[in-house]
Amino acid sequence: MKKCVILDDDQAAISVVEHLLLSQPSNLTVVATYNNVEEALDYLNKHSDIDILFLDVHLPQMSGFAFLDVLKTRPKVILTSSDKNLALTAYDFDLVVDYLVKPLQKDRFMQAINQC
Amino acid sequence: MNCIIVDDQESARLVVRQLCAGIEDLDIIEEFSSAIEAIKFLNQQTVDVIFLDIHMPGFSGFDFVQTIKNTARIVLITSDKELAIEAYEYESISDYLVKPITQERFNKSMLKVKNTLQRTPYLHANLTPEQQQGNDLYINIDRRLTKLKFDDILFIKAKGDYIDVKTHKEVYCVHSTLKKIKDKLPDNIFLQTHRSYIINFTKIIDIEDNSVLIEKNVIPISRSNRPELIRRLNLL
Repeated sequence: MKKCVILDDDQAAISVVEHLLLSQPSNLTVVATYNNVEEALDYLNKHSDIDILFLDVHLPQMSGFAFLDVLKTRPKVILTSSDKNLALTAYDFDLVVDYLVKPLQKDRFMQAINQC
Repeated sequence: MNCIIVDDQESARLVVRQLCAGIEDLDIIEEFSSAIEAIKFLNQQTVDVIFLDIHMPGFSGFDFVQTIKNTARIVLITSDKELAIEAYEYESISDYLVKPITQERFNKSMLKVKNTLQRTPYLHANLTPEQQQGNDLYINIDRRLTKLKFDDILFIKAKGDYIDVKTHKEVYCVHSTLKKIKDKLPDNIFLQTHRSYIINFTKIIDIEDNSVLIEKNVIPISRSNRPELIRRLNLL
């Protein structure tokens, strides 16, 4: 199983990702979810075996991009945001495999996880 | 790595040429001012990287990406910042570079492309329909064409940019998509049962509500594909 972590300040958004992951058979499992940047960073930097990080671009303490700058481990990252305009910046980060616009669409979500 | 440049403007191609010159193991094998000419070329030949302009007369870069059957990684080169979100919808697009492009950013992009190409040991693997005939399929694995009999294939599983072709003895990892291989397989014995699986339904041992057993492999059937599977079977 591939291990996933979800970081989003909005609990409802986390539930949406979890729901989509459970909606079809896959080899992905959610091992941790965080609303808080510091706790997520602490966890991820101690667990190099995380395969996929679902990351909200707009977090209250820092942006998702700033988060990736300080992250020491290298999971594949699927960015989620209601803001389309930061997709260009996302291309500067080689960990980022996809950029999904909220509200998340099931087909598009499946396409993203199939790339991981 | 080898690459081609597709851009209707000579000056833009010159810029890409200069950036490519800064990369040691990158060879430009052809340049095209016309998207159509590039597509014809790509129908005959495999390349690793395509540098592609988005705005070309009569043909957008995204149309191009959808048209080509090639498995190359695509790097978009444009002065239009607005289409990055659209670019993410295409798995074959590795990067989106906005002019002016620094050599540093370009180098990073090429590193990203190289890593993607090397993600599996079977570099440059590709399906070549030209060699396909009769009762078998040729798959290109590491520049070697390997023949598979249709009847030996148990099932095919999608895995990102790759597909696993499972036979009784082996799993072949090929750089292709389910959609592409589906077009090459005879539909009298193959059926898509799930968005990630095509099965050879003559190999089914038994069927449960939402899965089938083929040899020792349990393969999911999605609800929407189940009626078609049942229809194809010789039911008592």
